[in-house]
Amino acid sequence: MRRENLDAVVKALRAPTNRFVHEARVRTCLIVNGAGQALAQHGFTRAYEVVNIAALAAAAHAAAGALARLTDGDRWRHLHNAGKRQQMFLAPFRTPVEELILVAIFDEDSSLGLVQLFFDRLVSEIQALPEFQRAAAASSQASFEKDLEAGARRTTSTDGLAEA
Amino acid sequence: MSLVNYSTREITCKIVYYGPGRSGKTTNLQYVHGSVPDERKGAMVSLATETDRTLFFDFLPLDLGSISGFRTRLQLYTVPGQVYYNATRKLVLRGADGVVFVADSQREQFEENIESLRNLHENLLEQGFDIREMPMVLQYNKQDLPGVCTPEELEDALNFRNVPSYGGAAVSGTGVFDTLRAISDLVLKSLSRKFRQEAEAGSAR
Amino acid sequence: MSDLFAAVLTRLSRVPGVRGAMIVDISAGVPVVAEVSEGVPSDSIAALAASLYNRTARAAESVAFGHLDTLQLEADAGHVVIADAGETAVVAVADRSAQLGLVRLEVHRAAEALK
Repeated sequence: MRRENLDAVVKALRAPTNRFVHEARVRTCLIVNGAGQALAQHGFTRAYEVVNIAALAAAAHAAAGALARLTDGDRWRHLHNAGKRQQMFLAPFRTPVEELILVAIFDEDSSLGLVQLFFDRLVSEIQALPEFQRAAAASSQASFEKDLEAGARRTTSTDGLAEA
Repeated sequence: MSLVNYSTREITCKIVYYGPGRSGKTTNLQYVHGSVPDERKGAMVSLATETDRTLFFDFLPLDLGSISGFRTRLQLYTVPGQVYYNATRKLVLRGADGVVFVADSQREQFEENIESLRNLHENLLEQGFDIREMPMVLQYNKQDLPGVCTPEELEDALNFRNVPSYGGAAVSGTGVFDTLRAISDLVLKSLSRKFRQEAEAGSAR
Repeated sequence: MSDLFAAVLTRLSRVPGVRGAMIVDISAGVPVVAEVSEGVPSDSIAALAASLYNRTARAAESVAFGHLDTLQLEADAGHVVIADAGETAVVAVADRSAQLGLVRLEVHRAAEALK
């Protein structure tokens, strides 16, 4: 996603993400695009945490997609990791512009069902956002990595619109 | 870590192609895949972004046939090169038996090569590998482009271990198989050394 | 096991006024088995019922009221009754017109059968 769009996208995703976190009672969440660029987050204070989880979430999505194709499965709907203390929900969703991925970490205050319920609502809200109706210009080679990092910085800065 | 099955007499080794973004790691694998006959290779898996940057890894299984009575298989992997994907790179590097470092010979990528090599050492160290023991080959890719650094310049900057190195232009195949042969050779020699040491330790007890 | 679940739900869903009966995995908040009328969103109900149950159970324990057995919700359009069945819970959604006493009885019976 080009930098020109990024501020608008980060800003637009804040309200739906906060609503989701509040209603689904998750601890942390992250929204990334297919390349692993972070577009929204809640609960992280450090950019490096966002970067690592974002990159791995995009990788997990790519791997799950490949597995689904290899096993003649349909497009996968979500991954659920039920840990002892915490659980993780990872799910892709389509917008008119691009595919995004939600990663949500929750504990006993929430449940898979609750997260799924409010995930559906989050998806509907995001799909309707004007920022996701128009395709952004393709990233050039030189700016690709800068754009990835800009996402992590924007979503962890207190004023998302300030140039880091 | 190589898998050795004594009952079926099979060895499987993992080779990881490392280097900065867009240096030609995936191109190396694509060229190998395009050139090797069907009976010697498996399907190539590529997990990439929409703009064809490796996002997770490329994977290509190869069959080298029988070497010293063992059916020898190689699993070739590439890693995503961008700094951003370090967490993913660490995953793919796990259990590597050998590394091919694909450097981008373009002058503007000089620092990226050094940074990527430093990153490789850091990640190997974190996984408990002795960097001096890890079989490695250097490939100075994109030698076909005008005005690039010469292999000698890159040797000075990158090859302080004095490992085998080859100039290459992966897009046309130059250097691709030389590199692959060299790393396979190093990995299998290293493996046979380890077995000898283990056998000697075993008989000494 | 699924025969037992089916039998339990069938009996419960036959109570006059009951629009939906389900067995819910309390920790995951998802339905295990559901028999619901058209238009009753079993996934949403399972998620929200489980969440309500869990939070209320914790509240009950924190004021030393002990184990939460049944939770009952009364709204303008109807009732929701949730009863603990061990690792699962039995949930019934009923119209205002339903006989609440009978619904509660059948929910408890179902929960006992599952424990």
